[in-house]
Amino acid sequence: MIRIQNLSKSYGKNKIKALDGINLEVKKGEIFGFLGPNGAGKTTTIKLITGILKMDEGNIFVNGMSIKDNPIEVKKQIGFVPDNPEIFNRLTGIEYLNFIADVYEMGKEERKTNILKLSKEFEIEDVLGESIGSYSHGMKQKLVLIGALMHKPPLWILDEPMVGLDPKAAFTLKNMMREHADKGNTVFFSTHVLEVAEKICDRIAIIKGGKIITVGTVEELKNKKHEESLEKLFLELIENE
Amino acid sequence: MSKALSLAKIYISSTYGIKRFFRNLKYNKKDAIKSAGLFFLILLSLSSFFGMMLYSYIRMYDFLGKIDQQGLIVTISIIFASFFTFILGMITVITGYFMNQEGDIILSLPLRKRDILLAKYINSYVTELIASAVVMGIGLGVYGVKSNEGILFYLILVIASLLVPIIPLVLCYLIVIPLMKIGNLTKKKDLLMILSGLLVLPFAIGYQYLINKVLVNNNPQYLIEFLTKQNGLIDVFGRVYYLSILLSKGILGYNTFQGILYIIAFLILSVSFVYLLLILMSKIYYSSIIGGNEINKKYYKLNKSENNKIFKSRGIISTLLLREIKLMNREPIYLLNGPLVIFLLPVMMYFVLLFNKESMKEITVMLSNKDIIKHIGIYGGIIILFLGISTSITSTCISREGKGFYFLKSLPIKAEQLILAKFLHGAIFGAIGGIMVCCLMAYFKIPIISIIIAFLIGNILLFDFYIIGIIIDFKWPKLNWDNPQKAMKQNINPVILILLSMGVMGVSFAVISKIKVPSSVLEMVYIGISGIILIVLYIYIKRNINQMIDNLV
Repeated sequence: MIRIQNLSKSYGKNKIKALDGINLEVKKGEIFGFLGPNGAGKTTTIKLITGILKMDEGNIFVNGMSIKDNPIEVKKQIGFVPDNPEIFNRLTGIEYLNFIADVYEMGKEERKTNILKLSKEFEIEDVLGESIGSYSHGMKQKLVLIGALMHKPPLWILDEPMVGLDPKAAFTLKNMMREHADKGNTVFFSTHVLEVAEKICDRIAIIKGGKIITVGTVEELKNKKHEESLEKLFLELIENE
Repeated sequence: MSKALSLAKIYISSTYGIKRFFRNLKYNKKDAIKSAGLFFLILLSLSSFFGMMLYSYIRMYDFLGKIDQQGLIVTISIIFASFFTFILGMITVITGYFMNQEGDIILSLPLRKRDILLAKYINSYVTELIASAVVMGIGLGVYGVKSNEGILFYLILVIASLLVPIIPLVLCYLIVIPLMKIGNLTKKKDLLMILSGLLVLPFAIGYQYLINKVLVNNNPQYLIEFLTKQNGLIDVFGRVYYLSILLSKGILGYNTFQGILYIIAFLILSVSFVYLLLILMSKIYYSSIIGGNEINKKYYKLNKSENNKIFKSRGIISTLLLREIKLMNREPIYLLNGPLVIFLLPVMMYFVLLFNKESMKEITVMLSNKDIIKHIGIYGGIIILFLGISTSITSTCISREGKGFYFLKSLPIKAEQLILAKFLHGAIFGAIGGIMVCCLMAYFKIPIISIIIAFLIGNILLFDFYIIGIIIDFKWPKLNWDNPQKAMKQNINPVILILLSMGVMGVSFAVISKIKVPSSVLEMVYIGISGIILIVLYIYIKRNINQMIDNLV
């Protein structure tokens, strides 16, 4: 579903490397966890996949299409949740969702069904008429999630999606991620919550200093390093690699 | 007190970026040069106004010198500075009322309510001080130079500039705080912010009226009468705001014991006003900012009867355009400094003319001048250009997106569609501005054909300027802000565009006065050149737009 080839990205005048030639493949039907300490390059990778940033070198393919050559078609395949849900504060929730639905060319009935279903599942149907600026962080996160999922994209890219969610919403989202992947779709998400990653990810990658230091299933990686938990494995890799 | 000062330092640093400027001077010279450039561009754009004031004061000094009443210059300067700082103060207080993160961070700190209000007051005072120094400096500077005053006079001038804005700013807070409290209680904060902003309008009209009466007056006898007669300017101000007279007596008698006493009295009164503000308003102020983001929960039922409206689907351009308009018009700071200008400027002009029969007469005489009426289509077009540019819609269109722009980039929207929506947003309000100007032209009985030509020229010029505005804001966007006023009022891009439009204005006046060609030819030349520039700009933006979006990191 996602193929990242020799991807590099630098920032600023001093060309500080945020990503240093990473390669990664994420298959259809899997939940892929992207882990790493702060400043490791997780959000930069996500921003490159979603076309927010321009890569210095390499390429990214989504469903066989290059983000460089077909940015609009690639973006149509993606439902993206950014790490900070501070967006369009002066719109109401329903206006935001309608805007997203228009952008993804959703028909009236389709958007109605999906908005009603998702807003009920995330329990924000009663506040959709209010300005987003008046929402709590968690409510904004739920709204952005609905916006990302309602057009049923095959690829979900979620940057720290659990931050701010109440336990029930987090539980709902985890179930939805599983269901989505089981239907042959893909979920690529970054998180600092290792318990979540351990429980729901089919595979994980750990990134540090702009380089991928390991990729595999949680069990494979734990066995390889003889660690009993993902947390210990993560800490060991981060310290020693 | 020390806590209030520490907090004021943070507010000032966040609002004006002074510390950031000095840091940039050391580590990021490019950004420092941009900030300095913005400051000088603003000064440059105001220079004609300052120049007019300077010229008027010099002339007025000579008029008043004939009857040995030069001292009135001092009184007038104080009146103007007090009035001006009051108007500016209202705007400053409103725009800085809700600092971002205030609710989350500042209010959670162990600060007294009084400290928070004092810090906010000091932050607003900095802007006021700059305005006061300029207005006082010009008037009193003329008086000092022409009267050969000594160094002590200029020292007093500095002290007076420091003192003048204190009381008007207190009055601003006394007016705005209760309004914001009502806004908080009724959960209609935005509406009350806009209404408070509109409160400035009658004062601004009054100020403009006085400027016209006093500074742009060619009749010395009339001027002296207007200033000194019963119910004249000084008499009225003496009654409404006697403290201005007190300070002027102090300045004029600065080298006497009595004069110094007047200044000390003014100082004590100014400090007392601030103290009174803190005593009376600290609690109300605190309760007006606490929960500032709360709203009345009107539970929204996605019921069947509303479904058709709620889930309406739109084409990509109309949905993008609607988003642009809503995001701008619902943010009071954007609305007051942007689209509302289109309505306010013509209304202000109308009232100034209504109250000032002399100016009305002058305009009527001017419009009966064949040379002027001949080219009224071009003049009208340039006024439309200036009005349309004043909205800053396209010159801040990327900056206003803030950090949300990155999210926008993740959506499957073509760059051309995004830009077209931003352009149309500007063009719609430009057309509304054009209609407003055309109505004013019709009021003065300008021939309909000239009105149509003015509308055409104005709007084609505006199209050029809107594209230039978009390009400029793409090149130098201000995306990292924590308070929306930074995207609008602390943004160099609208200033560049306004200066460019002033350049067009200057060139036009020069061309019209120097080149004697039939008006129809000149009008065709204007439309033709603007049209060619529009095509060139279109080609440029079409070729480069993807690169420009990619470059925004």
